[in-house]
Amino acid sequence: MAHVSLNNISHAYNANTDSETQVLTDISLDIPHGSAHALLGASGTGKTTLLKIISGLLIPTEGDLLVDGRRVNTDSPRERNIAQVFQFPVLYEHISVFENLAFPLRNRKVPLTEIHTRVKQTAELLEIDNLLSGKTTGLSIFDKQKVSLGRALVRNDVSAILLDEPLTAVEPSAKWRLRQKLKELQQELSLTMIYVTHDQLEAMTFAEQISVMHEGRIIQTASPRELVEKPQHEHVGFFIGMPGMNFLPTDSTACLSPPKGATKAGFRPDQAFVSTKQGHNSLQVAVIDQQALSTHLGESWGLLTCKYQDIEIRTRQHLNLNVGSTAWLHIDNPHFFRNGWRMTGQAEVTQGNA
Amino acid sequence: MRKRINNRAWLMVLPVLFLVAMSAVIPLMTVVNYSVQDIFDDNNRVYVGLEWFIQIIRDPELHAALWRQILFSANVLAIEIPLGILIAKAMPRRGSVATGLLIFFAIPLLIPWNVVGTIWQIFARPDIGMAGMSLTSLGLDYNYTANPVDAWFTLVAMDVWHWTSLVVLLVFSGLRAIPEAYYEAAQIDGANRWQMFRHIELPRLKTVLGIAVLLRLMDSLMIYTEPFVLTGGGPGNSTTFLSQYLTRMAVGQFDLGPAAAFSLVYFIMILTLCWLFYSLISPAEEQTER
Amino acid sequence: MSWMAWTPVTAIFFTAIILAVIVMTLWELKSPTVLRKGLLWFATTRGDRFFMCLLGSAIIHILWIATTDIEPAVATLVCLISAVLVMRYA
Repeated sequence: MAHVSLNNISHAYNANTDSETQVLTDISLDIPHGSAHALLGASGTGKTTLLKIISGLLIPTEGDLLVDGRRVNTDSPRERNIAQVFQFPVLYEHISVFENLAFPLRNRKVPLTEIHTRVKQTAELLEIDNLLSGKTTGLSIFDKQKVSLGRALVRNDVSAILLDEPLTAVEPSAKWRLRQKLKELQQELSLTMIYVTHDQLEAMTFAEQISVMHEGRIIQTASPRELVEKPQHEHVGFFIGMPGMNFLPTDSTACLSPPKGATKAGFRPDQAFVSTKQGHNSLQVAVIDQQALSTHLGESWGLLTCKYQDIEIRTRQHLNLNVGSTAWLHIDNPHFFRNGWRMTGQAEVTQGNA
Repeated sequence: MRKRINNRAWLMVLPVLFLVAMSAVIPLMTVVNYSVQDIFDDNNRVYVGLEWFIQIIRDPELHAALWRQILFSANVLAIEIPLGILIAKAMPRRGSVATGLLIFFAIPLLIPWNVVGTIWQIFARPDIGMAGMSLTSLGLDYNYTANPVDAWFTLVAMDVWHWTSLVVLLVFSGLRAIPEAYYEAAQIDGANRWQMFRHIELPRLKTVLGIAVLLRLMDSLMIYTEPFVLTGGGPGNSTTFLSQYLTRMAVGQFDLGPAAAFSLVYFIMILTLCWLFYSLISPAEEQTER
Repeated sequence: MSWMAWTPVTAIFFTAIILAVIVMTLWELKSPTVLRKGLLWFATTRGDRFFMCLLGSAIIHILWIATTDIEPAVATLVCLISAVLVMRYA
């Protein structure tokens, strides 16, 4: 296992031609030995491209990729000792499960006796030792994905395991079990794992550190808790949380006393509530929907949707208002953003150089 | 595994069934009727039982044609299938170059078969044809109208030129259907090019290759037009294949009885091969479906 | 129909085949076939096995008259036996 670091990596397809398309810009990332790291972002934000660069399937147009301090930019995937599990199970269907697991070892000319012991060990670890002699066709996707994971674990020279949305194709009932298994293995064997996903729940339960990607950039790398509490960018606020952050333009909400230069105020559904009482600094809104999530002692809790001018706002609160009525929105300590980036305190510190 | 099969969809094919009955079943019945009779004219025919079959099946000339046929088909398959795979693999997977090449490769398939024969008849002529003249100027004693080996060589070359494209197109489409992730996984697993072909492409091309072999086998077994135009079955009988022999018997000598018996044996042969092949490729499909 | 040059033997032959096809169809309607894996390397339906019987019979007859002078009727008998075996065990 190893320490993976990315220094100012950028990548463009068809570089230096008319059809150059920039997909990654200035990515810097430090993934220490034995850590679980997630890359989170909507599709098309360059997550998979970044994985390909780490695994060696793509050579970045700019920047350095270091594994244990050694620059590996141009090493082939074979030399790089990085394993990957794909979105859907990629297996060699004409050979047995045993041979599938042995495949990466055979290609590296590992002695036969060692292949046997290593395959056995890996299979036991993944609880697929009873499937070894059979073919891969006919296995459940859960088991297939475990076999593809096995092809990564079987190599003892692997520096990092990349997981590209490994739960996407798995049967819903088995998703949780596979995620559990991955987490278990990661901790037991202290593996360095990089997990790509668009599902915040997956990322938050799996990783210690999450990098949120947007339009080819990493806009924040932080622990799950920090992402919720201190989103550095509007997109982090919007993307993380169920539902995401609410935003109001500061020019129409002067009552929130925004700092100088702020363009937007953002607040999570539990940072605000709607009531019939007007306080100071409250905004007049129209209640348009209530969605109960739980009921306790005759009182409903849930999501309330209201409208301030044309902007829909969601809050998490007691549902004691009438749909269609007019009420007052109280916002508690909003975050302020300027040009997308969060402002810290009254000082106009912007993150990154957007 | 036992599964019930719903056969109701067969009702939909009834109209086609009717057409096939008119165009295939009734003629086939007629051929069966002819094969057991000696026919002189409309009103003069004698029932002879299996006589024609016995005569045909034990005919040494037919045996010779059959062996030539088998040799030819084997020859053609042994060249066209690997060559087709090689060309398809060498082609870029996407882009305008791939499209251009596909069109280029489709051209021989669009040429009428007798024209293919004529093209090669001229192309291979030692006095005026480009291929023939080149070979002669290299000092080779090449003449496909006189030398059986040269005739054979020319025929195989022509068939390869004509039909390798079909294999290329089929294999190309098969390769295109392989998801990129398989290649990526194999690279990460440290596989070299040969191992990628062996463990990723070949297993996934199995069905498509089965179809390619089947089509080429059936077609080469029925080859008629091109050798008819190019060599007329000669020199001697050296390029007389089953269908030429059949035509000579039926149309040339008007031996309707033996020709009918021969057609039926020929038909059973091809049907058997077809069926064998089909049964060999279909279980593979079933496995992947599950 | 005279151009089709029918003879009593071939007429009986085709009638038999058509009857067999009709019987197979009725049987199918009464109890639909199941795909089953028998002695052969692939699974077959009842129709598949019937087709194999017909094709097999043709092959047996051809090989018979190619190799022996024994009365072809004996071949027909062999075919009937093999047909029963194929329908039952294939």
